[in-house]
Amino acid sequence: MANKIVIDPVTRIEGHLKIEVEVENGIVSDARLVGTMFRGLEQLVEGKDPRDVPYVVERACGV
Amino acid sequence: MSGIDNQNEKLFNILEFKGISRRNFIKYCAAAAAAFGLEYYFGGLFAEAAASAIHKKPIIWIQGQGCTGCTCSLLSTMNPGPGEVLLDHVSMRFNTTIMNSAGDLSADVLKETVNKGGYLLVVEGSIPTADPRYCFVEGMPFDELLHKTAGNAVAVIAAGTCSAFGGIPRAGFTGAKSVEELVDYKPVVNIPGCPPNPNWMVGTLLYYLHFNELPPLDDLNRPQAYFGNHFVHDTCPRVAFFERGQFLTDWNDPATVDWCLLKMGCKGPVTHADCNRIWFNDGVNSCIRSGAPCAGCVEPQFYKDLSPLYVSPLIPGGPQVGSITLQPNGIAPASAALGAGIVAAPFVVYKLAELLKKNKEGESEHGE
Repeated sequence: MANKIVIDPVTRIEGHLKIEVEVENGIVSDARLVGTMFRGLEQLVEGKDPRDVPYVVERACGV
Repeated sequence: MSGIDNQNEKLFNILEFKGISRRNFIKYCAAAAAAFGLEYYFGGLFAEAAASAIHKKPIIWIQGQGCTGCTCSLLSTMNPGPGEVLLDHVSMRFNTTIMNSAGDLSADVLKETVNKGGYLLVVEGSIPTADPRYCFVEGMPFDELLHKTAGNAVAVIAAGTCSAFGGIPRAGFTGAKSVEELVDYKPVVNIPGCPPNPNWMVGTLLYYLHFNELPPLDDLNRPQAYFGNHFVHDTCPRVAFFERGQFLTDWNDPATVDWCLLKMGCKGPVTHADCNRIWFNDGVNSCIRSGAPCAGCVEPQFYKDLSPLYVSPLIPGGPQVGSITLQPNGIAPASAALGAGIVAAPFVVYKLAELLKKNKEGESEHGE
């Protein structure tokens, strides 16, 4: 009998994270980590001046 | 009366615990009041407003397509400053970056605060509209969460350029929108910046706590005191080099390291912010002072229409800012304005720069 634990949102981290854990008879049978936000930073800098790229992609995480 | 005194004691006990003296806190509040052009004694009144707001004026802080940089800029100063204490202890009810509870517990806090109403909503990060799956928070699309929390809020503060104007995500394909574009039924204050200076945020909060209304805003809904009245150029530490026409054109030349960065793409003369007046990171530094040309991050055109960042707007084909066409020809308006002694408008500043460039540089035109 699987017991599912969901933690959403996970706090004290940068951005958005969700954890799903399936427990079967006291043993973890499956686990998933879901990053729930997407900005497309890689595609965003395509075709841009290469000198812009460090400025933009460092905004992946501001912590 | 004793109620207020108790609240005051509570706040000052917290401050003392964090190593901030009563005197310093009131000084800090007075500085915030001064930014709005208010009299000195408003510092004390602001401090009192902050004290009486303890655990009473809640803030909900939600994040969409952001990088948490705004939270970090606003909350983590080198020494826990008055601003951090104010945001952290006085009012913050929900902020996933710093709150202890996670999962269902934090969702309950959010639900409870939303049901009570009367809170300030702070939004960090833009809102994807191309597909709701680009940002899921608390198991729902971010725009749904935004509307749910904005409904009962007294006002919405868009902290950071992403939420104020779309910022960097707007240049991508996720259909990133600003808060204003989605929430038209509540007053929205834009505090742009990538990231914004904590003083802009805390000052606006103090003003709101005392007057119970939002501070005067400019035409882009930014607090007039921090944005509308200033250009980054006005208080630039390199402005003397600008006036002498000494422009840095080679990053590797140690002799010119302090020179004006206009030719390296600086957007300071057309960017409305007081960055060089009140420095970032507890007054440690500002972008231009540390050697980086202003990227114009507080303007709605950032980043999409201000790219490439390291190319001067003086060069034909360079980025345009608003309705101002920054072309190096047509110097007539500048000379007219020079005659009249007016050099305030950004258009004229650029034309002035062009004149100076022509005078000083003569034959050598290298770098850009």
